[in-house]
Amino acid sequence: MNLSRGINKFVIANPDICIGCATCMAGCYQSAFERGKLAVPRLIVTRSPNGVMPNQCRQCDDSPCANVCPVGALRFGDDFIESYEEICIGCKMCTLACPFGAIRAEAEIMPSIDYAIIPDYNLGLESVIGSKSVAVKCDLCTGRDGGPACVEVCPTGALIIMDGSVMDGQVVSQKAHDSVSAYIDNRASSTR
Amino acid sequence: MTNNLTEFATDSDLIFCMGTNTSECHPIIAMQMLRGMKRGAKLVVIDPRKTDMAKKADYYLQIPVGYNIPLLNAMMNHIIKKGLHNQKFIDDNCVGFEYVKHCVKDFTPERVEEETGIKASVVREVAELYAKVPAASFAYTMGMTQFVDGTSNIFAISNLALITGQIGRPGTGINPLRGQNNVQGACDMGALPHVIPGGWVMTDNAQKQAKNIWKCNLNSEVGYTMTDLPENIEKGEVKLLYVFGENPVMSDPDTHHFIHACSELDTFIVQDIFLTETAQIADVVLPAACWTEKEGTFLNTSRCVQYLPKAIEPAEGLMPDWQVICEIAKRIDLYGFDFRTPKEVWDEVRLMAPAQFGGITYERIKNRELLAWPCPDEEHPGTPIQYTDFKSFHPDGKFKLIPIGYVDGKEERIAFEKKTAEELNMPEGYPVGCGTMSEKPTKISPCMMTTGRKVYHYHTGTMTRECNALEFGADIMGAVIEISTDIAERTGIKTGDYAVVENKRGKIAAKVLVTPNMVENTIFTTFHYAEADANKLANAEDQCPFSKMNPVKMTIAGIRKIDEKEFKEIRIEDDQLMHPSELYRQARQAIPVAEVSS
Repeated sequence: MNLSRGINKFVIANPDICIGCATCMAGCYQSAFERGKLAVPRLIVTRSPNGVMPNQCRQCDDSPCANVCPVGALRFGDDFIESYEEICIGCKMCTLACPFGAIRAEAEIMPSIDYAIIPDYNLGLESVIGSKSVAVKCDLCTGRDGGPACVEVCPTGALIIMDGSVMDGQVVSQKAHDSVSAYIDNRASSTR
Repeated sequence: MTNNLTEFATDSDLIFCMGTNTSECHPIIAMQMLRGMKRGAKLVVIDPRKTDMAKKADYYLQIPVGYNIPLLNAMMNHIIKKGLHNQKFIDDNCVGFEYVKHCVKDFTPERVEEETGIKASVVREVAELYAKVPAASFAYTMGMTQFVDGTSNIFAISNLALITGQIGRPGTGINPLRGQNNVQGACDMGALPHVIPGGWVMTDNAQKQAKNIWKCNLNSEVGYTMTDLPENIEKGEVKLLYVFGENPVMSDPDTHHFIHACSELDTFIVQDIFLTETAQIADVVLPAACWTEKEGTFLNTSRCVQYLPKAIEPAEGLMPDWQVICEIAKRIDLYGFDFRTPKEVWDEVRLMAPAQFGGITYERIKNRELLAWPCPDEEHPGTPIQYTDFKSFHPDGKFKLIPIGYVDGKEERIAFEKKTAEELNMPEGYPVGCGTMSEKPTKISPCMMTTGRKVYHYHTGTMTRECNALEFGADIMGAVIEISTDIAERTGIKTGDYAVVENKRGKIAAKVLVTPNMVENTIFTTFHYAEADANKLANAEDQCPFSKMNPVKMTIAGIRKIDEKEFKEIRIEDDQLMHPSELYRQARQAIPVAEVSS
């Protein structure tokens, strides 16, 4: 079996190891800021009643967001879904289409506004008529040396890049191997 | 900590976390704990909030705010009843077991179930686990200490660890996780009213060391604590206050009272790297070099001395804190401030406390040797685990077990202590601990309120809120008031509504997050945000009788929904209270936030 070709790579967290420290969000913000993208985090540490982990784009192979984008701001790339924020028209169709809640319509904060006092201008929390928002999602830190910032800064190693070869070697083949071994062992002991 | 923090990963069979939000406040220690769990260690978390750590725990006990002593006593009750205590350890090394036995007899697991709804069977299971595992480590933080019965809470932990013998071996011990990178160092260096590096001020050793090295007669009277400061200013006993590396306007309880007290000072000096809320009400503000701009040592939570070299030269005109203090001391003709390098300062520490630091040379720590005190000579490998010989610091070498009770009202405490001492015929001066609630919900303030941190920010946010990656990247929520679901049902407040939390000391306004993770009838909020600082409402009147700590983790408050107009009014009022400096206000308008940090 060879999955290394043809599937998109993506970043995913292991909730058993994640401690919810949000260093990934800070790293994500900084990477976006340095690459001239909209300076907002693209992965959100999400605390559910039974655990915590960051949630981000799964880079679906037949991605609903790229399929639905009317202007080509989200595109099928070689091995991930590319994002061109500069041509996004803020129609938010991708936000509706995404099954993971991994795309948000965001606008950058205004440096001149004190959000502590005027929170209705905090566009991450409120929507303000007249402000232009664009779709932001994980773009695997395209253009950054060393790959995704979140993976690099995660102190516990909970975040990993899942690409075809990792998927093939550590997930699919490993599980197949384990289950075949288990089947053979069980069969051997039950027929003995 | 009696043990090293890495032992959570390598040795502990049970990690017992009480009153600590470890993954948010101590992520590195949480990581060590998770490694331990992967190895097979069990995790017990006891907290009013179901924290991220609690979600990973094998046992989670959701106690009401401040319900520490009854639970710990119930555990001890069950351990003693079942005969699971370590009688040999107690006989050999402890005194006062009969006192504890007497005091815990009324605290049954069934009583815990009756009072809190936590199943008695779970209390029994957790108690048995703690007593039976080969190595159980107890970790706690401010959720144990910052109460009116904080010291008694810690007595109770120490009782539990001692009667089960869970001390002095790898992976065991009583481990307060230090909230700041150098809080252990600050205490060891004598930033407390009763100690200098040579020991307690009234001891002969400290007196002798002060005379020999500092050439002065040390006052053997214990000074007053930080919590007594506002009152002492108002009484006119304090005329000058010099604050560095701290932001007490936000971090001390009852903000209005504190600010009022500071206004009565003759001179108020603040030395900081930013114009903090405290610096804005100061008469003189001195600049300082930040941690990357100066050389020195930190004493971490595991009592290890760590060397930190200078990474960059400070901006022109800035000096490290130690130099500023030395310069001021020289100007007022004080002896002994002629240090030229941080190494010379450290060498004096070694001279002052040779038993603790004598062997920790600059060369060794620069070589990255991880040395925990006590380390008396240069061949000594340091002491990562304390009490390996099962001897305490008391003159007789025995550990004291302290009787701890729990009373309904704080007025009854003295009577209880007296009664217990008489009943048990205890020797004069033997301490008696007593738990109680500092405040109980009233008609006007029907909810319990507690405070804490969020992972994104450090303390009052002086540094972290200036960092855009944290302020706008990680912390996308900002100041939030978290409320339990029953308050939400009762008041009709929903997630995202604006609300005001108020009591007799003050009020704060923020958005609400209704969370199922909170114990019933409880409000939680943080003290990171000047625009909604929980400490405005915190209790500064009551004190722990031993440590004088204020119960900042427990107060009462009312909550009501407000509209956006009222919200903005409260926020603007708060902004003017916290940021009165015109300089600061102008600067904030003129310089874009993005430029400040880059």
